[in-house]
Amino acid sequence: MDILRLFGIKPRIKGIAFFVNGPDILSHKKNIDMQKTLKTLKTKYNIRFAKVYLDQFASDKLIEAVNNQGYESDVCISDVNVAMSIGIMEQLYNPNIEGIAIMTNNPLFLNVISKVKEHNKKIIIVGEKNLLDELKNNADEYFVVK
Amino acid sequence: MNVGLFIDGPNMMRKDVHVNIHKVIEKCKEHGDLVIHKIYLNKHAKEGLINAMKNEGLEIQITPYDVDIPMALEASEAVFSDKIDVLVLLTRDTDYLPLLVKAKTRGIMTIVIGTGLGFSVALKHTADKVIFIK
Repeated sequence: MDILRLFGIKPRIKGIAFFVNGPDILSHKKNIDMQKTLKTLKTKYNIRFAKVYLDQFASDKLIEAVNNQGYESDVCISDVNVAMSIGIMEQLYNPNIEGIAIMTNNPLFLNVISKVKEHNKKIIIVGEKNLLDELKNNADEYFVVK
Repeated sequence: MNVGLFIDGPNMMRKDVHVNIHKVIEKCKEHGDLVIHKIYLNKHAKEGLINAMKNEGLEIQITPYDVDIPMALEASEAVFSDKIDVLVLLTRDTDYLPLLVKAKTRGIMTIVIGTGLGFSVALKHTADKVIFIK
C-alpha cells in the first residue's frame, strides 16, 4: 500500500454495485428474503453498495425494512426504471465499480445490460425462479434467489 | 460550449403538440455547438415522421419498447462522460427529472423545451432554463 502511495496511486477497493427494482421485486406475492439475497451475493462478490429504488406508493414500513436489511433506499416520484437506469449509468463512470448487479424481471433493462457491456463492466442479473430468459442470456452471470 | 439535444419522440411529435423541430434546433445552436442531436421513436412511428426527422439532420433511434430508458441512458452517458456542457431535453415527461438533477449537480446547464401543453411543473422548476416553442 505504501509503495503504491509513493507512486501517487491511491489504493481503492473495487467491487460491484447492486441495484434493486423495488416495485418489480418487492411484492407480498413474491415474498423474497432481501437480507438473505444480499448475504448470498456478498459471499460471491464484493458488494460495495446496494440500493433499492421505490416508487411513491412505498410505505414508511417498507422503506424502514429496506434500510434495516442493509440497503440504501431511493424513493422516486417519477418512473423507477428511468431513475434506476440513470443511477446505473452514473456508476459506470465510477472507476471503483467493476460490475453491476441488477435485481429485476423487466425486459426494458436489456438496454441497460448492453450499456454495461459497452463499458467493459461485468453484468450480473439477480431474479426469482421465473427470471426472463432474455435477461439471463444477455447477462455475464445470473443468480436465482429462492 | 457543447450542446446535446435529446428528443422524446412519442411524447412530443404528436399532432396535438405541434413542435417546430427547425426552431428547436435553432434555439439549441444559440447556446453553442450542437454535438448530439438525437430523436427517440418507438415502433409505431410513421415513415413520414422518420423521413421528416432525417431531413432535419437528426440522428434517429427506433426502440421496440418504451423510449424513456434508452433516452435516459444516452443522455446520462453524455452527462457523466462530460461530452456536453448544455443538456437540452425536448419532453413533457417528469420521468426525466433525476437526469436534470444529476446534470445540474455536475455543473451542466439544463434546458427543457416544451410547448406549454401538458408541460411538467417538476421539469419547469428544476431546469435552469425553460423555452416554450409554438
